[in-house]
Amino acid sequence: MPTRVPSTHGCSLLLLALLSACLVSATAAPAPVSFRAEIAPILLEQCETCHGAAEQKGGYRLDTFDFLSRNEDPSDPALVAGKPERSRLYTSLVTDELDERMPKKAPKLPAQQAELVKRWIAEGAAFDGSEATASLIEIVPARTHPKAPEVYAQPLPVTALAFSPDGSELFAGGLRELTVWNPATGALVRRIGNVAPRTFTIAFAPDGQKLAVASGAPGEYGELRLFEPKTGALLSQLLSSTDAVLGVDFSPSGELLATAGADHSLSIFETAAGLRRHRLPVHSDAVTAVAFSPDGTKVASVGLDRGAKVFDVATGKLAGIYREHQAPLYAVAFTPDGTQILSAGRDKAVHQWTIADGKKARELGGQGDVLKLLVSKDQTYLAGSGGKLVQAAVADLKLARSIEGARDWIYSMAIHPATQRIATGCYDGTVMVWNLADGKLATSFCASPGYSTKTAAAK
Amino acid sequence: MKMLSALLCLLSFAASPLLRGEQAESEKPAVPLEHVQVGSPVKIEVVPAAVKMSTPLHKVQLVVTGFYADGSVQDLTRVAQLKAGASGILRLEGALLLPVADGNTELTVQVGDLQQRLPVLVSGQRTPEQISFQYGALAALSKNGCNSGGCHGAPSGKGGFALSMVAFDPEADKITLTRDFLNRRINLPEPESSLLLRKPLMQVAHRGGLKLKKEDESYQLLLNWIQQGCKFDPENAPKLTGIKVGPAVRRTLKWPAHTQQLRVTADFSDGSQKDITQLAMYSSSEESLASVNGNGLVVGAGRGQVGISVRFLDNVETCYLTFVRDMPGFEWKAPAPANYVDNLVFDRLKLLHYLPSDTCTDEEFLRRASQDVTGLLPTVETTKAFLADTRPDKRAALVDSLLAGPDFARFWAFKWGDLLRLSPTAVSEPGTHKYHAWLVKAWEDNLPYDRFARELLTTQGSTLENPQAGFFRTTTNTSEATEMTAQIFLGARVQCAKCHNHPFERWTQDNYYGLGAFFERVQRRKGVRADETLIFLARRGEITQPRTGRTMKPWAPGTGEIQLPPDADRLTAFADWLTSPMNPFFAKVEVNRMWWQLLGRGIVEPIDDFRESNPPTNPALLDALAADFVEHKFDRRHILRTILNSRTYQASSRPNEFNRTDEKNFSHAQQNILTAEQLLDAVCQVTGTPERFGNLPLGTPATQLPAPQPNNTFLSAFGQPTRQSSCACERQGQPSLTQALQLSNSQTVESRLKNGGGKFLKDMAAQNKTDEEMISHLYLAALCRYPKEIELTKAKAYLAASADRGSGIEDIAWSVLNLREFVFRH
Repeated sequence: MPTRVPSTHGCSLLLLALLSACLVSATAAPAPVSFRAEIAPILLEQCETCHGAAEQKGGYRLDTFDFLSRNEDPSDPALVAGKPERSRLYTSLVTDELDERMPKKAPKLPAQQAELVKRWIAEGAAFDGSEATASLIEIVPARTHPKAPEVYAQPLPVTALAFSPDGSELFAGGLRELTVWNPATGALVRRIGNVAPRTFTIAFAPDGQKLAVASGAPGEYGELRLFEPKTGALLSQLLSSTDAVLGVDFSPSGELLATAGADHSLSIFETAAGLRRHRLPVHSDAVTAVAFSPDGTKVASVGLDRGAKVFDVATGKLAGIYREHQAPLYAVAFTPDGTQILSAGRDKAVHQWTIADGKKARELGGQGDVLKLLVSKDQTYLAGSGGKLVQAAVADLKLARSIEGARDWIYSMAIHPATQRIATGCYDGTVMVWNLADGKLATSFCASPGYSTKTAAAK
Repeated sequence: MKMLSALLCLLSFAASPLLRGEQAESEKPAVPLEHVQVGSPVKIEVVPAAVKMSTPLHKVQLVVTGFYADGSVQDLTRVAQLKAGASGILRLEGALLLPVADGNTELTVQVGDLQQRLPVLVSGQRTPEQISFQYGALAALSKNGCNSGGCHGAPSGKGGFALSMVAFDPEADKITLTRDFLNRRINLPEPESSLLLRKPLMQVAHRGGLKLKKEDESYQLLLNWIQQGCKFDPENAPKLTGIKVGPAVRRTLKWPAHTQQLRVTADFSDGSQKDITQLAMYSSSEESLASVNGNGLVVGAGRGQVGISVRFLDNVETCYLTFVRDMPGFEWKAPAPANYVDNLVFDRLKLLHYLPSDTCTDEEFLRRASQDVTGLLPTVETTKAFLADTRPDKRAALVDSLLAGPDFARFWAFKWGDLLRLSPTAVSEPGTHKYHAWLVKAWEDNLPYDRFARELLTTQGSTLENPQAGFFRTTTNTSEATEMTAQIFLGARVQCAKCHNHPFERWTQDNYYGLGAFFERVQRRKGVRADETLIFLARRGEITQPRTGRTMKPWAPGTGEIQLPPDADRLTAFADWLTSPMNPFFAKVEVNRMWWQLLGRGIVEPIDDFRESNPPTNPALLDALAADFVEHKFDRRHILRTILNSRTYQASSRPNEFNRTDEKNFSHAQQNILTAEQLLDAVCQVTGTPERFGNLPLGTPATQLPAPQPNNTFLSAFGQPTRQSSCACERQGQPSLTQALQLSNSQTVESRLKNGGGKFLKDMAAQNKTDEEMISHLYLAALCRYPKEIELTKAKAYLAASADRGSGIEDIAWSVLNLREFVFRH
């Protein structure tokens, strides 16, 4: 026994030492790498452009976990759980062979990113998303956006405008924020944060309780978020995509919502459930605008592919197509009776065409590139590169009124018939509010908080 | 035609690294830099002599040159020691000076014992520099290849982002960069987040790869331009008037001196000048001779002259450098020069340390000259007589007799048929014959080339009566007429400039339509008679530049706009300008074409791609030939005779130890495969069995056809062009398996040899030839030489062993027709 005691003692000491070492390392060891939170963002940022849904260089795609882990070529597997050195996904990031290294024609990935991928594979390459076949962009956690700049160094072009249902507030797209203004005085009322860098369309739900924001960082990602307009609280994120979301429109009942994206996508969502009802792969380039018909049964879309199309909301089937445009399109609206479409873009003419036969009924030219058009009652209002706000009756599409004053391209427009106001947002950062009745300028302000031409001149 | 020219345009893009947007990737020299051996310069020169830097981004490149007692020069920029008198005023990156703070100082440049001092004045460092849209932002995008033809400068851009090629349309680029696609590419409040910067930095995945680094001047320019609010240049801003490249004189550098730092400056309309060495774009006319990096450092690797084309927006200048190197064991020796051609070629070879090959044998000369001048092999009788002739001037006599014969005129008319695109589809079947007959007559009469060109360019009326009016009949519109005229008579491929400024030459879109103004009034109307077209000039009609919408006045390269009365005959005006003895292109293009036809390679190559950035390999030779041509009143036979009589033309195709690597300086003859038509004629001549072409008289050689034969498999296998384009490149010389099969195993050859040797053997038998005579005859006919002893012995033995004489000679003839010696010109 005496011989055993020290040995037992020694043993237990050793055990204790090991145990404590274990405990120490357990507290110091980082949590397991999360695929959806840490790996998927890297893949989306660095790889998805060439190995995604649109293009599969080398026959490989990784835009879903399912594709990523398929190992189509067993002799050269992309992913071997636990074995980073045998997984192309990792080895191609760190090799010094320029022909082999990913991303191509680019410097090596930062070491900590490659290290994350290595650890994730070493830890078993677990998938912590909802569905392996869901695209990566849909499983990454929603972003929290940094605060908007307190003071804008230069004015931001105003690419989105919307009146609150009662007309008392005017919402504008800012940099990582929405700014809310008093349309009568031009005073800044409040700022709503946690928005993607740029906003391209703001739409109020018919009940006025929700605000849909089509936004994104162009070329990087897109988001469709719903906010509570008064408090600015983020209600939900319906869509996360690989390029900016450019357009959004609610159905008249507010039950549905259609989105248009720079990633060529056109989708219809159920607003409350946040479920995607249709994904319509019908444009071959960015979809720039989308609109519901007055009766809510159809959706119209236009895009940079020069296409103008109409779909049946219930079936998602094509209900009309128009092929006369010769340039990228930016604006679309239904006529009040829902049988015709007004569409326009860089071919400097608004075309009015009949959904049933895709034939042109009339056109209004000579207004420069048209970037926005809307229909209110029996009138259409349009604006764009000409810097003018142009009004025409839907019935004859003859130029009724042309309001000049903006000093640069007009990107956005909003109308509030009850208060007789129409607002335009300009490249130079100004918002102009006009009296609908006499076309006079009611107020004008720079929608970039903190920026004024005076401070710029002083600088 | 349209598709082909578009293709040519695209092909020339593909050829240039500049256009593939790889400028940034070619920073490191392909050849290791040799240590500079300073030696004992008698003088050093520093350019510029005084340095002024007046804005924060104003950099200045110094170039230091050493002058030596033996008259040689070398670039010492790499080893010069630079030292600023006062500190904190400027910063040095090698011989690149960067401003730091306002002040005056002196810079000392020292090489060995020699020293030079330059005054340095730095100013304007406290005021932020306003970045020009054109000369800053667009220049930066150009420098990095963003708007190159393979990237966003492609007609439809890349990834939905389309810029104008090398910024030729700044107005469109303004919109694209700032306003288009909902202001997608610029973030004004946070400039560094702009997609325009994040993409080339690869902060956002960019299919074009990493194109910009934050420390690059280009990045600074773009970032500052955005920070300053993406301002466009005001109307009254100084305009770029031109660029200058130093060294301005043609410099010869002798190994181990093999590098040259260039210095590029831009001149502006307000009289100011700016160093743009870092912003200019560089490309080498011959990468194997010298490469150039993005900082303007030229590194020579071979021997010969290279043109470094320097581009800044629309401005292109070329710097010429000749690299020479002493070859160990090289000792000059050459045949006695026959005329000025040899003197000038030998001067070049001596300078570059290439040794000319010996003169070719009489047999080689006879075969080569006959085929080059007439397209045909000499008859066995001619060969025997020539070989037996002992007169010392028999080669010159042969040249004279070849040039005087009818086959010469018909063969050269046929060559011009390729250029002028004579074909039934273009000018109808009878029209082709008439036009061809006109060309034959022009060559028979030795019509001076200026009158030849004038006839083609100014003849109006019915193509039945004036077949040369077919020149405009082969084109259907102004663009085609402009492009064809430029390609044939100016040696210029202007197609690219139709849609955008030429990517590596001065040709702008304005120039294209300005040249087109000469041809805009040409009318082509169907005549009342069958196959008749009427060519005439409308009284009025102006051409519009489609991008600017401006009406273009007639414009000619090197001359500019030509003022003409409104109803002037513009074709005559063009012909007057073109054929003037002072015209810098006209004579050169034609002598170069004749040189190419005889030597197999142009002094300028390709022959229809004359541009400053594609210099001649021997400028003195091209100048002398052109001067001789003008002096002899555009007598083409005189030039051909001069070349044919030169030792250079008569050089052997066997290289020696000191010219094996030379392909451009005419140290030895080129071995080229015979053209499709020459080869078919040779087969017909040797076998004594002509080919039938449609309803042309039997015996018409393929080298004298008025139009291509569409259904002749032999001719198409060997690259007979269909005459869709005026480009010499349409004739394909690429060897192929089909060609080998045609020679070894085709109906064309077999039908002429089978059944006991066909007509050839029957003729021999009729003349009671012995085996030996028959074999000799075969060799003389096919190769212009007697068989060697061993060839004769083997052939005789083979004949003796054959079951019958017929199949024996058939086999021997077959093997002779498959000899490289038969198939090639050598």
